[in-house]
Amino acid sequence: MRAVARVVAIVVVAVAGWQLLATVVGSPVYPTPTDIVGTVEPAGIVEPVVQTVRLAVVGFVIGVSASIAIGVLAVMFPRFEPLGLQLALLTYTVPVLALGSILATIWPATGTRITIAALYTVYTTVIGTVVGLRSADRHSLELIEALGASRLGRARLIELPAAVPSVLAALKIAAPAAILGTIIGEYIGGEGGVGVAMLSSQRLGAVERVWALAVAISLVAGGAYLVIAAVERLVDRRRPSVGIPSRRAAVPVEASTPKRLLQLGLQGLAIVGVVMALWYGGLLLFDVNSFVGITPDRVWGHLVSEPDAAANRSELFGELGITMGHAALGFVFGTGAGVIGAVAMRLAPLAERVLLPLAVTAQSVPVVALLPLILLLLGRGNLLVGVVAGLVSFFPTLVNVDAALARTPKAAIDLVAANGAGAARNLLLTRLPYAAPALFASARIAIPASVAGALLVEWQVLGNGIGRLMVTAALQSRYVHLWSAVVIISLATTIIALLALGAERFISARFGLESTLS
Amino acid sequence: MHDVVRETGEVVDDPGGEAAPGIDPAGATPTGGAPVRLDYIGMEFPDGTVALDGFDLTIEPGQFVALLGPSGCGKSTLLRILAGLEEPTKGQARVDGGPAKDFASQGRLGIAFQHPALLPWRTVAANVRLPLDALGLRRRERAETDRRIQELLEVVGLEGFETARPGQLSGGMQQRVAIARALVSDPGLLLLDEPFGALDEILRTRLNGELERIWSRTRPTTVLVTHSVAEAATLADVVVVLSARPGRIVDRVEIDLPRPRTAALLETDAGAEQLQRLRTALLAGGA
Repeated sequence: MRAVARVVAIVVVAVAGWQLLATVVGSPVYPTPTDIVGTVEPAGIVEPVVQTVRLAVVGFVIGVSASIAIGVLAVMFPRFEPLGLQLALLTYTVPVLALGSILATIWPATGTRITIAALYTVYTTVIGTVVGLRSADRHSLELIEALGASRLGRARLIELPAAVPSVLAALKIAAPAAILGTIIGEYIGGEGGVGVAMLSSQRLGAVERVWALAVAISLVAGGAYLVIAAVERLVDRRRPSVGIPSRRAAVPVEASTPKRLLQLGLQGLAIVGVVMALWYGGLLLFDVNSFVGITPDRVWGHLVSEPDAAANRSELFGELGITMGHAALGFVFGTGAGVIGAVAMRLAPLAERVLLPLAVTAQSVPVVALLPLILLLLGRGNLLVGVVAGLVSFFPTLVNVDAALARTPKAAIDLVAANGAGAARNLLLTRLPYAAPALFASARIAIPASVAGALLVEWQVLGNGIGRLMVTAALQSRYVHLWSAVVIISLATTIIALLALGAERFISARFGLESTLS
Repeated sequence: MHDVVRETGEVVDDPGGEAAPGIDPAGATPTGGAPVRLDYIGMEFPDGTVALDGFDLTIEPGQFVALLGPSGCGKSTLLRILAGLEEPTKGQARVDGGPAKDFASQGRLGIAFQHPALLPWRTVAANVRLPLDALGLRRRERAETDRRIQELLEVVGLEGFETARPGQLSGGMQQRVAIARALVSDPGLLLLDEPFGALDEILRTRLNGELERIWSRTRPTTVLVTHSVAEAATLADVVVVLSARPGRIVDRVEIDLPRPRTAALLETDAGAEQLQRLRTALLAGGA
């Protein structure tokens, strides 16, 4: 009940603050809540929101069920685990907008939206399931095994219950992500939904309606997050953890370098093989005609073996450079601000108590999906791409780094404090090094998000980069070019995210810390 | 319940007859240790738990005091107060005539917990150096610091492990690093919170013997928290027995056994008598 009262209090303060600020600013793009309530037809908000949420729920259910299945398989068959985890990572690093632009050429709008929503839930849910299953208490597992339980019995009695908190933590992120995915699907094409309504309102200059839609969908996303968070807390309270978790070292025991390289090479081949199989298989299965459904060999020809391959490449790589520049701009500012914010919150506990819940909730607001609103406020320009790509890196960095700073063993902090170090020096000696792997872990999340943000802004606003190229290629029916662009941006993002993963592993091993895996 | 613990007529000079190498005796009190005064300390946590109540104790410079008590009697809280990590809600803790927190911020405190709390990314040598880095003493002559760390590692039997990382060491070795780290700043007050509590009995006995030997070299004022009667009797000049929460002093036992103390010594009549008295006091305190 106290939590409800607090939420109500926050809402009241936020609305009052907004009213005051908007009145003082008096800008036409920044209406007061009363303006909005006075001008906007409720039905014009409710209808698109319901439509978006309906598809998001379908995508969420499909994506989460598949992801939990993948997670369970990965733990039951450890051989399959690296492959499963990396395929999951791929769903995150492949810019969904790019994938969606292809899907839109071969599927109806509804299917595209649901697919993107589902894909957006995969990564966190698979990781959450694997981490959760692995967190099962080793002693309990051995006990139950000694008592004669089967593999299934062990899973049912120990591992699955142990996984619940971690899975819930993942679903909490997956629910707003499904909404974000649906809205991105709406931007790609088709009728109805919040994304379409926001874009058209923004173009018509219906400022109040853009605001109302943005607030409504943020509330829904934040609400979904808070509801799952409440369930999570309930579960947590009922089952205080007692066991010693059997977390296997996330950094595997290092094989000798050549053997390790061979292993990595084989793994890479396996991933390429699975992706190719899905690609060819998908085209066959859905019987896509060869005019829009481009096979890998045709992309290869377009980029490598055909006479005009060099020209194609140089065009695509030129645009890739622009997009990556935009993403990097946002990533650097967002991550820098995130680290500074996390440190500041650590040094000022009061600030943390106020800001952290806001930051955590803000993480659930589909920033990228609010593009029309941000466009209203900032106008068209490079600032816009920096802000959009920056915001998506800011929140994961802030939350992850703050959590890592907080996880630093108390004994180490006490020890350094007892030896006369002040708060700042203590941070430098103990907490920041402990947080270093978390920085790279959030980079792994933030880099693909920044690329996605950059693509969307290029597509909708700036008219350059890969984002623009995908639109024109589709309009001109240059489908091989479109698919090639998608392949290139996906590869580039994946490689950079894998570098961040490598850096995280390396630093974890070097620092003797556990890599976070999330 | 004003309880003054006096010197027990122990030999004050170093049995080795010389100061430990690399330890600068200049400016130190005769024993190198700081006097401690705990003035009717009370500690009540925000949730209403009273951890300590009217705890009053004076510790002479260079004295080795063991706080012996059941789990949760507030002995670790007392240690945290002495380390300046917590402020008591009643009374005050004074070390070397000033507030405990000031003493800590002068870098004259050595501390070791039950958990070694080594920083995993630092080498053994760098972990031992941590207290100096905590004070920002980087500019102190590097060679001198390195020599001192080297000597301390020899003292704790870890020569050759300077560049190892904590993850490569056994639990006992990690705890030795923690002891070396506690001694690196040449502390006037050494606080030990069950430093060997997580180790097995055999290793624990051996490390206690080593600790006594190391301590005897410089004799810093030392407060050891323990719930092991044998450990208290092996190491301390004076054992203060605490009651269950809230911690009060039940008995104060002066251990007048000669040093170095061995397991055999505790089995003599005199030793057994001391142990018996400690056990009785512990039981009387509600353990």
